[in-house]
Amino acid sequence: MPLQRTIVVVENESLLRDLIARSLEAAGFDVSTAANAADAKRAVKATDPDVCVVDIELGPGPNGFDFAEYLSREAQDVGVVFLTNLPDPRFANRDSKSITQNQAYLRKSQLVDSKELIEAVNAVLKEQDVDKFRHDQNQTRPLAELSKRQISVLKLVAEGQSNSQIAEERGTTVRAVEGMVSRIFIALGIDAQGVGNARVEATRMYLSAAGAVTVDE
Amino acid sequence: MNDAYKPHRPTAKRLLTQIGSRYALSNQVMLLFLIPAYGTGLIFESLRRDTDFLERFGVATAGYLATIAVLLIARTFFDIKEQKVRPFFVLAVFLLSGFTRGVVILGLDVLTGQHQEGEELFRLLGGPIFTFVTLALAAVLASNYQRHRESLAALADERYRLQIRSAGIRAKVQIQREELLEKVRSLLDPAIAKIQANLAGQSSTEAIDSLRSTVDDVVRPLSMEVAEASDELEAESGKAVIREKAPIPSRILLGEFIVPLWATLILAIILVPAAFLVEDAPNSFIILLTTSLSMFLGLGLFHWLTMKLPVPPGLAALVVPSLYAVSLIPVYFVADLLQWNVTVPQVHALLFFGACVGATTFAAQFAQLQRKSTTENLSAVNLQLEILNASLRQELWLNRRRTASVLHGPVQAALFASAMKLSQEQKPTPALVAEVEKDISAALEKLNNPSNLEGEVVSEVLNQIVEIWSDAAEISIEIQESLETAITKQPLASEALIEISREFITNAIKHGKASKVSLRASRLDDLRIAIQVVDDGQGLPPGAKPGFGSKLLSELSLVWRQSREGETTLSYAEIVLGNENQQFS
Repeated sequence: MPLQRTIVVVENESLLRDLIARSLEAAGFDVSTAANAADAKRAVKATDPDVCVVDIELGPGPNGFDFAEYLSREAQDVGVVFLTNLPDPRFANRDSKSITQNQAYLRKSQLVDSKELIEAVNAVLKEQDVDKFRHDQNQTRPLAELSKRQISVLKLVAEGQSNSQIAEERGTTVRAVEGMVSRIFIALGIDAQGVGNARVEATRMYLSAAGAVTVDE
Repeated sequence: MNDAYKPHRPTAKRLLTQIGSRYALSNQVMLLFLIPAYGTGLIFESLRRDTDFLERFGVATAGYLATIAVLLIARTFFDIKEQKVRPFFVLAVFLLSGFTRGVVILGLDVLTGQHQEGEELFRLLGGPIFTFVTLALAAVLASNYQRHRESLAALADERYRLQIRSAGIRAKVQIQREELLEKVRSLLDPAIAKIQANLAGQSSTEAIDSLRSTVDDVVRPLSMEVAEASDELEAESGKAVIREKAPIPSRILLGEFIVPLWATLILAIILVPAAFLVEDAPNSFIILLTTSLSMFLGLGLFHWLTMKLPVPPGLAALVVPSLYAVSLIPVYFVADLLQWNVTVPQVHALLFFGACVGATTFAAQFAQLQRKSTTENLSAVNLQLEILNASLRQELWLNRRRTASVLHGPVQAALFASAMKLSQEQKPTPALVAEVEKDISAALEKLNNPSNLEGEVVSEVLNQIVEIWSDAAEISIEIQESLETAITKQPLASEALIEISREFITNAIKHGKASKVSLRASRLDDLRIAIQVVDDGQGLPPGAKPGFGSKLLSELSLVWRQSREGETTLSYAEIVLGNENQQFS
C-alpha cells in the first residue's frame, strides 16, 4: 500500500476549507486544516505534511505569504500550492519571484473543479511539471501585460487619484506619471483618445482583476 | 490653589510682543488714551498753573487730537489683519505721536501767552515720554483684551463644530452603513437572481458560468470599489451663534497681580519730566529715587504678603490700585522732611497716577489670565474634536473594509464553493441546489453584520502574529490589563489595534530585519490608546514608498510616527478607544 501523503489546507473561509479538504481526502490524501497562519504552523509541526495548500488572504493576522516564508525558513521540504483570489503576487505588491519554481499557484476563479487542484498537489509532490500549475504566469490572466510598478500605479488610478496625487504619493513628477499612465493604457489596449474615459475603463479592468485585496508588503 | 488662577509673570519679551501686536494702533488704544490725556490735562495742569477749566480742556483736546492723528496716519502702514508682531515700529510711532503732542501743546501755550520759561524740556521730552509709556500700557491692555476675545471666539467656533460633529457622528456612520448595503444589494441582487434562475435550469455548466461571472463582473469590482472609496469628512463651516462667555474665576491670587519692578519702571519714566519741572537736578534725582524705592519696596512687600491670598476678582480690582497708591504714601513724609517744593495736591496726583498704573496693569493681567484659561479650554476642545474626527474616520474606513472583506471573502468563497460543488454533478439535484442556495444566503447574510474578527479576541490574533514570526524574531506583547478589559467591548478599537500592531510588527521583522520586537499597548486616557513598538531592526529603508500600510495607519490612528533612536526603531501610534456613550462638551 502506497504511503499516504499528508496535506495541510490553510483557508480562512470555512465553506471553501471544508470543500477543499473533502476533495483532497476523496483523492486519498490525509488532510489537516487550519483557518489562520498560526494554526497552520501548529498543524505543520504536528503532522509534518508533504504539501500545504495555502490561501494568501487569511483575514486578520499573518497572511499566506507570511506562512510560506515560515515554511521556507523552517520546513523547506514542504511543498506549497497557493490557492487564492489574487491573479498574481503583483496584486499584493509582491514580486513575481515570490513564488518559487517548485510552488504551484492556482486562482480560485480558474478552478472549475477540484481535479486541477489535485493535479497541482501531485505535481508539487513529484516536483514535475509544476510550471503547468502557475496561473500567475498565465498570459491570459488579467493585466498580464503590466509590470508590478504599472499595477501599483493602476491601483492608484482605480482609487480615483489624479496624476499629481499619484506623483506626490510615489515621489515622482507629474510628467513621469503621465508617461506611465499612457503606457498602461497602451498595454491594456485602451484608446486614450477614443470615445469614453480611458481612466474609467482602466479602473474597470483593475477592479475586475483585483477585488479588495487585503494583503500588502 | 489652581495654577489657572495665576497670570503669566510679565517679561520684557512678552511685553514687547503685546505692545507690537496688531491691536497697538486700534481704536481701543486711542480711546484708552483719553483717560491719561485728559487726566493730566485737566488735573495735573491745574496743580501747576492758574488756568481755567475751558482753557485746560482745549489744550488737552488739541494734544489728544495731535496724538491720535499720528497714530491714524501710522495705521495706514500697518495691516491690521496681519498677525506679525512689530514692536519697534509701534514704539517709534508712539514716540513720534508723543513728540507731536508736545509740539502742539507748546505751540498753543506760546500762542495763548501761557508759555512759561524753562517749559520746553518738559513739553518736548517729558510729555512725549508720558505719552509713549501710557500708549504702550494701553497697547498691552488692548492686546490682552482683544486676543482674549479672539480666543473666546475661536473656542466658541470649535465647540460649535464639536457639538455638530458629535451629534452627527452616529447618524453619519448609520447612513454610510445603509448606503453601502443598499449599493451592494442593488448590484448583487440581480446577479444572485440570475444564479438562482440558472440553478433551477437543467445544466450545471450554465450555473457554474453564472457563478463565476458574478464573481468577476460584480463581486470583485464591488469589493474593491467599496474598500477604496473615500468618505467626505467635510469640516462644518459657519460661526457659532452663541458666543462664549469668559470664565471668571471665583478667586485669584492677589499678590500675583502686583508687579513691583514693572510698575516702578513705568512710574519712574512718567515722573522724570515732572520731577525736573518742580525741583533742581539733585533734588529731582532724590525725588525720583525716593518715589521709585517707595513703590518698589511697598509693592514688593504687598506682593510677598498676598501672593498666596485668594480673593474675589472684584475685590482685587479695587485693592490692587489702592495698594499701588498706598505704596507711595512714604513720599509725603520724605517731601515734608526734606522740604521739597512739591505741594500736597501734587503728591495726591502722584498717588492717583500710581493707582492708574495699578489699575491698568491689573486689567492687562486679568485679561491675560482669562485668555490663558480660554486657550487651555480651546486646546481641550480641539483635542476632543481631533479624537472625534479620528474616531469617525476610523469607523467609516473599517465599515468599508469590513463590507469589502465580506464580499471579497465569504461571498466570493461561497460562489466558488458553489461552482465546485455543482461541477461534481452533470445536472444539479434539488438537494444540491438547496445546499448551494443556503451557502450563498449565509454568505450574503454576513453583509448585514460584517466583522473581520468574527469572535476572535485581540490577544488571540496578536498571539497568531507572535507565533508565525516566533522563529524569526523574539516578540513580546504587553497589553495593559485595564485596556484589555475595556477593548473587549470595542470592536472598532480592537480591529484598529490589531491592524496597527500587525503593521508595526511585520514591518519591523520583514523590512527592518529585527530580531527583537516588543509591543506595548496602554490607555493614554479615557479616549485614547497608545501603541508603542520598539525593535532592534534597521527601520524602514530610506526612500521607502508609502503604501497600503501607511494609508492604513493614517486612516486608523489619531497620530503615528516612526523614529530611530540609536540602534532601535520606535514606532508609535495613538488610536481612539470609541465609546458609544461618550459625551463631548
